[in-house]
Amino acid sequence: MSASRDPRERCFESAVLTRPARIAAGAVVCVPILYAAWRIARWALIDAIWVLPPGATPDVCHVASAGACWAVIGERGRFILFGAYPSAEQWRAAVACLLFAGPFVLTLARAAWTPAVAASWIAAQVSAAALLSGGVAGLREIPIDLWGGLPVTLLLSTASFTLALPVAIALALGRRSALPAIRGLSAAWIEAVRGVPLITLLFMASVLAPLCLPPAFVPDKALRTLATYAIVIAAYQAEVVGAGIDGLPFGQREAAAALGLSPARATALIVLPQALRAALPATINTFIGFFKDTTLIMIVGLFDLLGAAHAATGDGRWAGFGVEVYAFVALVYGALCYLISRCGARLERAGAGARA
Amino acid sequence: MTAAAIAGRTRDQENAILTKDSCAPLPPAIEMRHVNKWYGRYHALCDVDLDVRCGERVAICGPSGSGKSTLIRCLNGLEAHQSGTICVEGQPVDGNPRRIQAARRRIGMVFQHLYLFPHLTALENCTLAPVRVGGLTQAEATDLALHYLNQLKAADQARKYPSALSGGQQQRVAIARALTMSPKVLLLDEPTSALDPGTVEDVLAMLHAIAGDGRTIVCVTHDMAFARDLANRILVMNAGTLK
Repeated sequence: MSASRDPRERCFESAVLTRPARIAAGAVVCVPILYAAWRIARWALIDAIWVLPPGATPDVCHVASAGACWAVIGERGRFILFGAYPSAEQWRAAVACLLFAGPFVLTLARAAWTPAVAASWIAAQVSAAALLSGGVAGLREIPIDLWGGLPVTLLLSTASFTLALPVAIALALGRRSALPAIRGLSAAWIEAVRGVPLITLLFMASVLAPLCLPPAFVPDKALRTLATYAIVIAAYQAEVVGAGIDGLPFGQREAAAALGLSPARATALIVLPQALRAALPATINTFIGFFKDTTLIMIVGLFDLLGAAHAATGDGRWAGFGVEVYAFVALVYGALCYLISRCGARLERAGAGARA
Repeated sequence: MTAAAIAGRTRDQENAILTKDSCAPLPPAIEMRHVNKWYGRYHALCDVDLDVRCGERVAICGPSGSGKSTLIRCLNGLEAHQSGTICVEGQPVDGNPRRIQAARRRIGMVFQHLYLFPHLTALENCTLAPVRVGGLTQAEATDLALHYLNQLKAADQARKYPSALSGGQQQRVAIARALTMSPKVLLLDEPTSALDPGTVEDVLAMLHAIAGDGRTIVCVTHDMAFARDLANRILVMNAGTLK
């Protein structure tokens, strides 16, 4: 391009660029970006079809000159968000999602992580599950096979993490135990689970568990999946908590011992509060990772947000609009992960005042 | 407060303590007999004998690595000794966790690096052990902690976290934390190593103020001047032996 006309372009690395070279370098970088941005804007905004005209069929989107067909989101949005959940009862799925806003806002608003915040997350999960399944308070019972979309993603990710966290703490402490048996078992759990791909474990829970266990003892498929996620997250999170424990100066334990605190109390009152706080950024990292890995439940026949979106593109009339649907789902995941990371940053700041 | 005022107060308290300092008939506060400790092949404590009377203020001086810190860490069982006997306030300190626990109830310790709990406020640092170990209610423990923080002129820092305190203030909180368990024996490991001279004078005044009532102080320090001002007996440690 024009940059090649300037012999001094060779000085690029020296960071003492002349004015023409700067302009040329800018052009080299900016022109392709602007071009791509223009193409995307034309497809996504200018030529896009936002809603179907009254009485029109999806065929208007199949015209060659048409851009993005956002109408598919409007038409199939409820299916993407709530899956095969019966239409008449979808308000319940929507309310179940909104229930998670409560503990989320509470987490953002609290000055520090308190037991009340943890309790609010558990309450949201239990009430969301009750609302989705029905059979209580005169609500029609909806089998888990019909659940899908966003409520499944939110419920599975938060519930598995809530179950995993105490186990992770126990595993991290167990791996540092003075008793060889406990140390060995904890290490075995952590290493075995981390060494196997998540998708394999889900497959085993889905297919092998019914083969190995007597039928009366086989839990429901959704529960098996939930337990699998909890077991896997616990193994990863145990190492995160363990790093927090190892990062503490040993003097903290000694100071607690010198005050007469027993080892168990020193762990509960001095070590863990500091270790969990130090492990917070890595904990948020684990959660965001597994929040997106909940999409793997597709392979055991459950429908989360991505699964429902995938199914939505299979609808004959709306086939061929996968890009729009996946772009929409990506936006939802991106927004939720952004919210989680803000939530984590707020918690880190709340703990910062109390850090040495 | 000016340095002169502190010095004056110190002398007054010194006199008050000297008149009270007469608990010799009581059993010895600390008894160490032929205590040996090795780190691998390194002989850290060589046949140490130590007797400290109740209410005595003993300073242990000596070069780095001479075993001073090891000695006082053996006194409350943070380090295990391999032979010999240690008795603190009549309570044997040996390998038994329950007996060590009982001994620690009688012993307060201030660490060289303080090790305040950074996730707790100054006040919470001081109330934790009285509530969880001593069985006081939160209100009682708060009163007790504020009493000591007040005595050490740190009561206005009670609601702050350790990271918001200066070195001297942290030192006061660390001493207050040790005192809230009403220990008979107070162990101090290099209490002045990180402090400026003015603060050292403050710490000295504080320690004189809290001495007495039969409370025994054992202080490890490099600072000979501080040792002279604090103690009524100075011992020198060298290569694991006590003189």
